[in-house]
Amino acid sequence: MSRLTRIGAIYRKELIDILRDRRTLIAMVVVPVVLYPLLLLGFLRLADSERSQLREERFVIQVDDEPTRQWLEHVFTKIDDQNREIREPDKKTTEADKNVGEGFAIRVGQEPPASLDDEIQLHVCRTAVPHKTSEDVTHKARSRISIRMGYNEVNVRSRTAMKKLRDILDQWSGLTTRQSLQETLSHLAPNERWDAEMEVILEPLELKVVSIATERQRGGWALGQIVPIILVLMTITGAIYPAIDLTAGERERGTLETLMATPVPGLHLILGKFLVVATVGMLTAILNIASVSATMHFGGLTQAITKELPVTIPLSVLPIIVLSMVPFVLLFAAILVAVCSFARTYKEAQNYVMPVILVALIPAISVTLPTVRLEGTMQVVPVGNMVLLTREMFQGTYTWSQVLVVLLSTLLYAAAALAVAVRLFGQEAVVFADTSAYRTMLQRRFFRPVPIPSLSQALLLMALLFPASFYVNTQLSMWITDDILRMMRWLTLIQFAGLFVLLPWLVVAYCKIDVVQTFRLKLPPARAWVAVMLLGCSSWAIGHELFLLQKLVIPPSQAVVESFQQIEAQLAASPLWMMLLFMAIIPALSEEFLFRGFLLSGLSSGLGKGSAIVFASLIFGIFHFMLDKLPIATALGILLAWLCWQSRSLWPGIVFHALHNGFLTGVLIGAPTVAQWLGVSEETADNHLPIRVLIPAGAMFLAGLAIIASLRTQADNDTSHPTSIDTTNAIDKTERTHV
Amino acid sequence: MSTIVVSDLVKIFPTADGQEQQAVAGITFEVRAGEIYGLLGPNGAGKTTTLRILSGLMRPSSGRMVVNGVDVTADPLAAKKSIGFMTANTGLYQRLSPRELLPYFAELHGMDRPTIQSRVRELIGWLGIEPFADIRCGALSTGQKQRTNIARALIADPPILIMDEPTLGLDVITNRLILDFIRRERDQGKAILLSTHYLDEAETLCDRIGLLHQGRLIAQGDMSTLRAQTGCDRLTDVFLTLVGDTLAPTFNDIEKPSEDATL
Repeated sequence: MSRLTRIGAIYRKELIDILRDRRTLIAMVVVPVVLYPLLLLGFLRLADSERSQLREERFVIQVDDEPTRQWLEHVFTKIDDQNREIREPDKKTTEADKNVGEGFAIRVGQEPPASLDDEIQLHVCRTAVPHKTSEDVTHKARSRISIRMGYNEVNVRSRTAMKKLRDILDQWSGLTTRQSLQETLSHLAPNERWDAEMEVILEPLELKVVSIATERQRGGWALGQIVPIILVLMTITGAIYPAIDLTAGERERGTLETLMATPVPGLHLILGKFLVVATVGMLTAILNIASVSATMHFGGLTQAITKELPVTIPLSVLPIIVLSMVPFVLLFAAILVAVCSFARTYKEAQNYVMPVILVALIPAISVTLPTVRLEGTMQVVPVGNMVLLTREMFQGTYTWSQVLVVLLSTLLYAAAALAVAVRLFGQEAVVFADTSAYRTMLQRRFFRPVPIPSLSQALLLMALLFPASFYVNTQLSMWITDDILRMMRWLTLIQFAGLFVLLPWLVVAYCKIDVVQTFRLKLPPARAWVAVMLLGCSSWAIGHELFLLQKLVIPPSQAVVESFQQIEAQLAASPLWMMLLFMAIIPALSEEFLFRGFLLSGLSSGLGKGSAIVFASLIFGIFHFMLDKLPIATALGILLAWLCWQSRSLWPGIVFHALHNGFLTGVLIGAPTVAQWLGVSEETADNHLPIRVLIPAGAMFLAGLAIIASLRTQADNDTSHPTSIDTTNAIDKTERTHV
Repeated sequence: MSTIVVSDLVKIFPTADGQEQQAVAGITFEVRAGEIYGLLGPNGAGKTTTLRILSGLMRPSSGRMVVNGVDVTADPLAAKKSIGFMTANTGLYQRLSPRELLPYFAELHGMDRPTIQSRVRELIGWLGIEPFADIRCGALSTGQKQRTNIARALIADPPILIMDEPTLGLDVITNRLILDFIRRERDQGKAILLSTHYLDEAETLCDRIGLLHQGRLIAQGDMSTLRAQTGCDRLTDVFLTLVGDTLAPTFNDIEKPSEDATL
């Protein structure tokens, strides 16, 4: 039975199982379809009635004396008169047109009120300060009025009353200014009309702010702010319950033991379960979004939200929303399955899930700050990068390189989380809580020596290395812009030596993994060296032609071209040996150590030959962090991985990789006449290679491939290597507890 | 050649106080095809751990187990293919009916569709599952559940059956049905390894018996060998004599439950 049919069988059974559970149906269907509309509509109704209640409310103002009361009454009357003047006479009076005085009851009290709450909302005292005016101009004595308005900040009614009265007093103030000005001006020159000047004096600046964004752009912006967070929340909520039920729930109900006794690799069990969690998460999110949109549309919420800013949210964004949900769902489903696989009971799983939600929400919320952009290290921050990408997509400001980095890194994280789940799920420490302890999974003395790293170890290390390496690269290129050699030295120290060599070696040493087998340190058959020489002297030509081909499909971005030119210019000024060291030898050594050593060995313990080679190479390609480099780096990765697999040794790959990286550099700088002849000198770099070069190079390349292909068949017949890892039938052994 | 070969099996667990405890302290035994081998011993003797290790659910700390010619530690998946595993407290998927559950496990064993159909029909008939075959397992009685469980363990017709207390908590009728079934499987040439608390049941059912105490096999053989070895007639006395001989201080601990035929 093929792997796919078996995973399909697990998927079908788990889906039926989970859909028959009342709790799933409640979380998935009842909550979104019934609860959200009810909640939203109820909230709207409540807010509405609250608003109208506040409008109809009569607030109580306490004043200190009778004159203040009279003055306030006078203010209200004046405003009412003014309002009536502005109002069109034939228009029906509406609620908002009520006399302002009706909204307030004024009460005179000797003592200031003890508190301002639901009984008395405001306390107003008035002090008339004599104001010296130039009597020779106006012949009138005016005084400035000083008011102290006391209110209670923490009482809603008091606060509302304060705002309402303040607005009225402001209006009165403006009215009085206008009157005073008019009187003063007509006193100065009684025969002239001052209307125009008065307007200028009262309002010297007329400002109109206009947004040029189209309604559609506004819609995109609004969606970009809201949708990512909704996606995070809804996909997580949908995935939590099935994740717990299918892992910890299975343990608690006692079916896990039976399941683990079947001859099915843990990887297949986890994949089937993971797909069910993702499916349910996806369905829940879709139902939620549909329900919320319908409520907003039919419940009049859209108008309420978009009243101030007309926006258009076209229906065509729905497929985009659903599509952008997929990576979220995959990542969360994988993380949740991993976390819950560790739990022994339902309760325990629920406790683990809470922090996961928080950790997922923090990056999701923090990146909604408008200054955070999808660039640099942000592109590899888990969850955060997805939220930002979704936002950019709605605003139409994304680049394909961003899409690629974000999606691939998200997939890598999801794969690592799944690998962890495979490692944890069905572990005896988890299955049999009564007899064992988690310690056995972490402490070195409980480890048994194993020949190669497990799939989960490999993927987990990669998931850690990816953001780390991305960070090192972006930070270094920001700090050191002028001196490429200094940057290469730092890169060598931190990335190549530290991350690519030391870290995997430490993991191997701690976990009692066989160093020689993992990094394939044995020497290859002699014929491999012939293949290496043939390939090393010809692969540059193939690479050159592939790059020209790629240019037709993906034109290189200007920024990339410029950065290449800058690096080349700086490199040309350095000594040849130094260039070869930094560009060819060090990367070749360290990258082979990590990608064809640790990673390929780890992947081969859970995957077949073909998938292990392709995945290892794809990850190798992603680690070059550039869309332009991805296809060729991946192709080179496949060749190197195949060479390593066939020769059962890391050494040929190191030499070939170094030759490939170094050949052109060496020729260009060390032997310019040769470069001229080969057709790769600076001025001919964009042309196809001449036939006299292309044919021999192609022939050498093919010959090299043929030798590689013949390596394994001979080695397979050779029974003197029984210890070498034959991973072709490792599929059936993935369940080996160190997966 | 024996179907199950266990040699020098050791399993060490870390305990809460940081000490290590030997749950299985180097046991060696064999089970042949067409034989029922009973592992007997008090709680904590290491029976369940031994069975779990043999089924590939746990890894041994050291020792070697070969099942149907396959080294369990080296290739647990291949070993699991030839084992039907069942315990008294195995849960069934509560939201699936026996008729849905059995084909699922058949698929997990990699059987093809026509074989699955006929095998499921066969087992449902043999074990009398038909009356409740379409009821979800959550609603079944203990006996019905255990019958379904047996059917599940036998679904791929494995040459080896490993059963951890298969008759625990069953009524007389189901008990008889299951014991008959185990005998029938033995007669068809299967190697059956089971553990039990019921000594009288073991006496009549098992061809050979291994007495486990504190992780060690203190005696093994058929009933007549054990009787001859100790001079006792009943298995309970055999066991108590052996335990008393070798590990006197723990004698009282075992005697405490003192249910007649139970350890």
